[in-house]
Amino acid sequence: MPETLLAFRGVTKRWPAFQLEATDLDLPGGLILGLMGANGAGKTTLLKLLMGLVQPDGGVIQFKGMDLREGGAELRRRIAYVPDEPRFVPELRLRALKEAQARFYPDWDEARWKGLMADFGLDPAQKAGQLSLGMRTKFALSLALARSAELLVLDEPTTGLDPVFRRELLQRLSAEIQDERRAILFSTHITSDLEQRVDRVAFLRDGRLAFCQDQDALRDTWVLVKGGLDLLEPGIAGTFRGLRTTPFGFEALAEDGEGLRRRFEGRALLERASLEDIVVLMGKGTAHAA
Amino acid sequence: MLRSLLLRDLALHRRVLITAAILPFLLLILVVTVQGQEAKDMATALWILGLLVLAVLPHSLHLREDRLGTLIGLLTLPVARREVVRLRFLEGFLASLAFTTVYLTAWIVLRHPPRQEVLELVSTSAPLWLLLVFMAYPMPFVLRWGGKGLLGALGLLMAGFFLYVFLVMFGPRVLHVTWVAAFDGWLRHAAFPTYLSLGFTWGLPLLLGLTFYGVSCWTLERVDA
Repeated sequence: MPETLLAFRGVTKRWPAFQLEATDLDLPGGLILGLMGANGAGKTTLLKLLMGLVQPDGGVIQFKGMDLREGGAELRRRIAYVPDEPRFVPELRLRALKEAQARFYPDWDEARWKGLMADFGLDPAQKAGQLSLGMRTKFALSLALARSAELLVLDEPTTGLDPVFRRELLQRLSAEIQDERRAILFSTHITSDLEQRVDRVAFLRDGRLAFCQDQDALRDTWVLVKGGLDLLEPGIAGTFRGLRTTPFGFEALAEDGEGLRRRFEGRALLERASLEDIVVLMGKGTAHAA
Repeated sequence: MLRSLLLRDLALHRRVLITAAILPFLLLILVVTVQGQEAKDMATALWILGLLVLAVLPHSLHLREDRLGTLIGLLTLPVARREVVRLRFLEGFLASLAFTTVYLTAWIVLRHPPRQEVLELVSTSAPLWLLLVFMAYPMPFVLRWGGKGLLGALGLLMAGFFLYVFLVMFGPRVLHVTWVAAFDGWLRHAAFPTYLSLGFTWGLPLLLGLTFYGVSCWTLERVDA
């Protein structure tokens, strides 16, 4: 069993308009954990808490058993972070930006950085101001990957990237964690990214962690139920974790597949829920579509 | 780490720092064009002006990082936030020291002022007071509220100044002769110290500066980026 690299224990954060409820999360080495949720669900807040950019109101975040609050600066040397919209001083060349950052990391691998820049199609002589969002993300990724960080934290890294590069990046990330001492935590809106490469999925909804499960367990747990409106007997909505109705029928997400199969006796269609079904229906709660 | 942070700022804010470095030379050109008795007053005034600009340099750098969105990059580096505050104070102090050294050396070489005048200039604690008022005091406000914090801090300073003027002009006589007069005398000593008041005029701004440094560290350690 690989060592737990990262652990959130009852972490909370309260703002006037939003609060992240007590969150418990574990990430062992050798895994990629995908963080999903709608806009404003708390994904970025969770990652910022981890990086010490936001101060928690309660709870503890541990990296290899050490409290991040106490050993924050030193532990950040072992964690690489790519924000959702990387920003750089526009008039500077990428080479100069790299030099400004590399001196903070004794394990900086210059040859690896050069290789990554070439792979990503970036020229070190380019100015940051000339880069699009996707190219800035690639550059930020090159800075993060050129270090031997034990934990890679990526906030929506695939946003702004073309599908080909997105796939390449996910392959690269998988290769990064072959060594079980390393792990990756990344948030995304794109469910297909998670289905391809992620080992464990955490879903945040309105600041609460709705679930955190391995991909395999996820497939075995959740079912998608489709049927006519006549099947929506009073009280049945309580058995669903998400429900969407249209004038023609309903679509619901549930955990107890066997129970529902017996209850509907062939009058409803039950199938394995895809990650997208889970995210859409759980994100919506109970909704009615015209 | 502080060295790495300084080198990072030199790379990232090269343009701002070059502009700041040109300042003493521009002011010197102004000074050498003035002749006679007014030259000394002019030199002092321009020295103070240069120091004022450099005292707010750390704020400019921090606000620039905030505006460009690179503050997140700075705060996720493997350095304690306390080190970032130390960096800002050091930048203000080093810039002022470098400016003062270049400016006064040039002034002495170009004008050959009397020895007493030189002694007065190098022993005054006025630069320290300027750094205290325009760099150290607004720092927690800048770290907490950014540009609005700087404006707020300077606004409070102005309000305090106007209150002082108001008290001098219209306040009760007892206030005028005691507190206000003492404050007035204290400011004069800050600019032109006697040996007796030297400890007070240097010690107090240093103590207050350290207090604002502590408050700045406390503030930045609790700010959400």
